[in-house]
Amino acid sequence: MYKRPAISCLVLLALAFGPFGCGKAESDRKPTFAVEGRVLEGTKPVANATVVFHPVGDAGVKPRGKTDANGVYKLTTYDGDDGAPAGSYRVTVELWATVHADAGPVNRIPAKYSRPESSGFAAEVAEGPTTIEPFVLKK
Amino acid sequence: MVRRIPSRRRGFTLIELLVVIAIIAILIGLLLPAVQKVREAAARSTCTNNLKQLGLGFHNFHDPNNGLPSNIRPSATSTVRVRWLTYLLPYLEQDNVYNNVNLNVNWHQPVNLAPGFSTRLKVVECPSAPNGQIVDGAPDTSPAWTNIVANGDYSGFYGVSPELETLGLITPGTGRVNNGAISKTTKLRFADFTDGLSNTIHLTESAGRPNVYRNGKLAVTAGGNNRVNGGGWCRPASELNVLRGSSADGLSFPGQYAINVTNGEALGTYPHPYYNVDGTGQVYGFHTGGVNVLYADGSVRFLRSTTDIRTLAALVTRNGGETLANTD
Repeated sequence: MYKRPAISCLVLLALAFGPFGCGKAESDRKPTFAVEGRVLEGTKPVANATVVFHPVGDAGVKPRGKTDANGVYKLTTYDGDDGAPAGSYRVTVELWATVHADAGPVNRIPAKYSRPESSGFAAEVAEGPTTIEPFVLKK
Repeated sequence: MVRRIPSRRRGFTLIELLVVIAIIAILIGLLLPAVQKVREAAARSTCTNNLKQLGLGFHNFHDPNNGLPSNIRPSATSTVRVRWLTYLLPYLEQDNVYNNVNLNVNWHQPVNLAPGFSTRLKVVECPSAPNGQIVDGAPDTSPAWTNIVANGDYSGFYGVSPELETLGLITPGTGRVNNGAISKTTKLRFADFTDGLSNTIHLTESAGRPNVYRNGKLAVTAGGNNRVNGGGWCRPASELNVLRGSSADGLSFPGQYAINVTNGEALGTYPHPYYNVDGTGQVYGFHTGGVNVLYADGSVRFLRSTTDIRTLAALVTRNGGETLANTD
C-alpha cells in the first residue's frame, strides 16, 4: 500500500511541470552584425538623420539607424541597434523633422539623398562588427 | 459493565494527505487561468463597446455639424488646443463635462480642470489597461508635466510616416502626414474617406500612456520628459500622430513592427526633433494578441498584432487607394 501513492505523486509532479518545457518559436531572422558610421555635411555632423541601408538585389528588411548629436548612427534590423545582415547595400539619408506644428514632419535634406538610385552612397557589411566610412552630404 | 477499550482510530497517512493536497492544487491551477481568461474576455468586450459608443458619437455628430470633429489649434503660436473628443462629449451623454469647460482658454488652465478635463470618462478607458490612477499633464504648466488631467486609451491617426516609404514597408505614395481619419483644424466629411468607411481605422488603442510599456512590461514610469507624449483624453497630443512602427523591442523608430510592441516613444527632449509638440504614441492594447479597432463605418473589430504594417498602413489611410487583403 505504500508504493502506489508515491508513484502517483511522481506522475502528478510530471503533469504539473511538464508543460513548461516549450522552446521559443523559430524566427526567420537573418544573423546580424553590429554596424556603425557617421553622417556629415561638409565636416559638420548631422544629427537626427535617418540612414537606410537598401540591400542590393534583395527585397528583405532594410536596416536603418538614426544619427545622434555627433552624427553617429548604429543600424537596427529587428531589435534596437542589432546591426545588419552581411552583404552589399545602397544607402539613403533623410532628415525628417517637424518644424511647423500643423505641417507634420518634412524631409530637410535634398530629395536625391532619399533615393537609392541617386544618393551615390554604398556600403558593404562584413560578417563581424563593421564601421562604415562617413557619408558626406554636399550642400 | 463493559469498558470499551479505546481502539486506535484509523487515520490518514502523510502520503495520502500530500496526494490529496497535490490534486487540489492542480485542479486550482487548471481553474485559475480559465477564470482569468473570462475576466479578460469581459474586459475586451467592454473595450469593444466603448469604441462602438465613440463610433456612434462620430456618426451622430457628422450630420448636424456637416463633418467630423477635428483637433483644433488655431495657429502654431496659439496656446489654445482642443481635441475632437471635447466636441464629441454632448454625443456621448457627457453634456455636463462639456458645459463645464471654457474652450477659449487652453485645457490645462485651472478653470478647465475640475470638474472638466480632470473627469474620468468610462467610455475612453479600456478596463484591461492599467489606467485610472495615472493622470497626464501639460508641457506648459509650471512645473511642466504636473499630473492634472484624466487619461483616455483611444486615439486615431493623422497619417502615415513618409519614412516607411523609404523603408519599402508601405504602398508608394501613401506615406503622408495628413491622410488619416483624424484631422488637424480642417473638417473631414465621410465623403473624404474614399477608401471606404469600413476600410479606414477611425480609432484604435494606445493604452498605458504616459508611462512607457514595451512588449507587455512597464519600461519607464512617466517623469519629466521621460514619458510618452500623450494620454490625457482632452489633449490633441494624445492622437497617434503618424503610423511609424518600431523595432521588435520597441526601442528604435521607425520599423516594421507596429502593434502591441510599445505604446510610444519616450520623449527625451521636448519639443521632440521628429514629433515636435505632437504626440509620440503607438498602437498598443493590453489584450492578448492584438488591439480593438473602430472603423469609420462604426464597426469594431479585433486586429491581430501579427498584422503586416503594410496592411495596417492601408487601413490608416482614408484615401490611399490600396487594395486590402482580409484582415481578420
